[in-house]
Amino acid sequence: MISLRNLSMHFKVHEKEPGLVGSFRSLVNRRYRNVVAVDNVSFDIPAGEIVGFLGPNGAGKTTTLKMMSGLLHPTSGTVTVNGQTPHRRAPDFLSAITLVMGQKQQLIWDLPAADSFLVNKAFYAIDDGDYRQRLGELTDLLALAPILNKPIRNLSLGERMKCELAAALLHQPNILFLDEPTIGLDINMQQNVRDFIRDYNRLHQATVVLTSHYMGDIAALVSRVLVIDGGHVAFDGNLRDLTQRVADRKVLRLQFAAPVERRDLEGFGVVEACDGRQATINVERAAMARVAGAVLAGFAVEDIAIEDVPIEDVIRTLFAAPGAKPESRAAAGSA
Amino acid sequence: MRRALKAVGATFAAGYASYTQYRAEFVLYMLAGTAPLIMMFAWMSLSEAGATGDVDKAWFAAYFLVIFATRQMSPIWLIRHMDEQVRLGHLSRHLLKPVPFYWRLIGLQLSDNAIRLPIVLVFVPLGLWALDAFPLLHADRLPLYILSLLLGMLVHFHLELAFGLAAFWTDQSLALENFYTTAFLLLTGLTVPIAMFPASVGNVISYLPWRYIFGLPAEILVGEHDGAALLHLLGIQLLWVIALASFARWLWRRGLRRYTAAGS
Repeated sequence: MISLRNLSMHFKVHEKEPGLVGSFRSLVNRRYRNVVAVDNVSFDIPAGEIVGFLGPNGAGKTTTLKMMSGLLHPTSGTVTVNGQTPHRRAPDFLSAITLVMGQKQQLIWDLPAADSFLVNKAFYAIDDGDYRQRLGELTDLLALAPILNKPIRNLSLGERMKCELAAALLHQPNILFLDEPTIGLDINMQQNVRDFIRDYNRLHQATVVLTSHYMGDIAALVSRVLVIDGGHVAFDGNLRDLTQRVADRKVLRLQFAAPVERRDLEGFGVVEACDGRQATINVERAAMARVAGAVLAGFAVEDIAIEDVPIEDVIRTLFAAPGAKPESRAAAGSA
Repeated sequence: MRRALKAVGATFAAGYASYTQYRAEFVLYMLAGTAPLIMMFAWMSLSEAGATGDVDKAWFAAYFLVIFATRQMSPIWLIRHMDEQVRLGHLSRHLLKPVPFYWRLIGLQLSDNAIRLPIVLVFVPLGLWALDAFPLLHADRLPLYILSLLLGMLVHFHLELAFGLAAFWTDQSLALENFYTTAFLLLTGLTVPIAMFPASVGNVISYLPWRYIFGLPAEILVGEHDGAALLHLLGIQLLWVIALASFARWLWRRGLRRYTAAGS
């Protein structure tokens, strides 16, 4: 169980104008700015849930993760994870969590992953039997066998990421903080990592908190989304609700028995595509039932599908227009 | 504590493996830290020219070879390491481990010692024999030398750790390293034996921590100090260990509150 109450994190940042004059001014008269990275955030995450943090760069997602994993001392508010205060960094708390950062590594650069795993075995006091069993499982799940004894510097990004995941999970944590775990990976490797995270959650009933800019990660893994923007929780709910609140349109996909002209469809909504036999129309959510009925009545339709707007479009809409925010902070606080 | 010792052992093994990964670098790394040998020849020349009073060149040979051995056994460069850890956010990955970061540093330090041990065991006796300096060593003081060497390593380790932990406040503790390096070169006995300073300056140096890193252990093995004076100096060395370890611990706790985990 993870619980945040009125959690805030402020950073004091030194500001300097560019150039030599700016450097001199900064030396004589230093200016600081107080940056509010996380502002009065509250939410709970029950054990076993997979939650996705969404938000633009600098929104406060990673700072929140760092506070939950004990790296940062909050400026105010409280955070408890497994009933413990993270920044006290009690050994049993640290043994129960892991933090994977897609762009940072814990593996020793010049040595094979197997050597880093041995270091983790000692740090987490994993006994020999458990170590062999878990390493065997992780080796199978992540297909590590051919790369275990190669120096990390000789591995590809995807191979390194698989080794990172194994190193992060050898001690079998029940809370996973994953910050952009698929960044830089190719599509196949992204899918492998997603499958692995889903399997790990299912096998160990692990709580997973995930940040990602890849909507594929979010759509494939999470049951709940927390949209963080400007240090606030802007939305807390499931993906479907988020889509419904942000996107006032749905997508109508049609396949016709006989060719149809694009202009014949324009009265029903915004025609995204039409090749005569197939068409995609964006229709106002409230008008969808009426439009679908009219199309079925007026054309020889072979197949029809009504879909939500793709999540990428939802997120783009969400962060492009300030007015498009689905929930006020006060409303989100009660979620 | 058992887990900490296991962590030290694993870090030691990984550190040793890293150092020995590249064979050419391994040899060069073992040969680093030759400043005392250069200073030895400089002081021997001064002695031959009669500029060092009644201290002869054999004494300088013995003293600087012991200083070299002591330096090799205390290969600590923590200021730069801590600066990188804090400023670049590398510390984060270590803070997530359930064993304090301190024990990882100890393990890495021991692996560095192990790398340099062959140099000490082979080349230092060879040098002492070649320069006819063996007779100046007091073999009966070897246990005291080892005790003082270990205390000196702890003084060195915690002094550099404390300077390095300034990175939590300054974001650039390397500026302090310049000040530290000047003191290190002049006051540890690495380049100038403390006995060569004027008595008044030597007295001041005796109350600063640097002398106790290399100077005191070497002075013990070449027969300097007796009885109460020796105990007094060892007592000061022990006090520095306690004071610096406590100070570093306090800085660590305070510093972590300011840690921003930047870049990670």
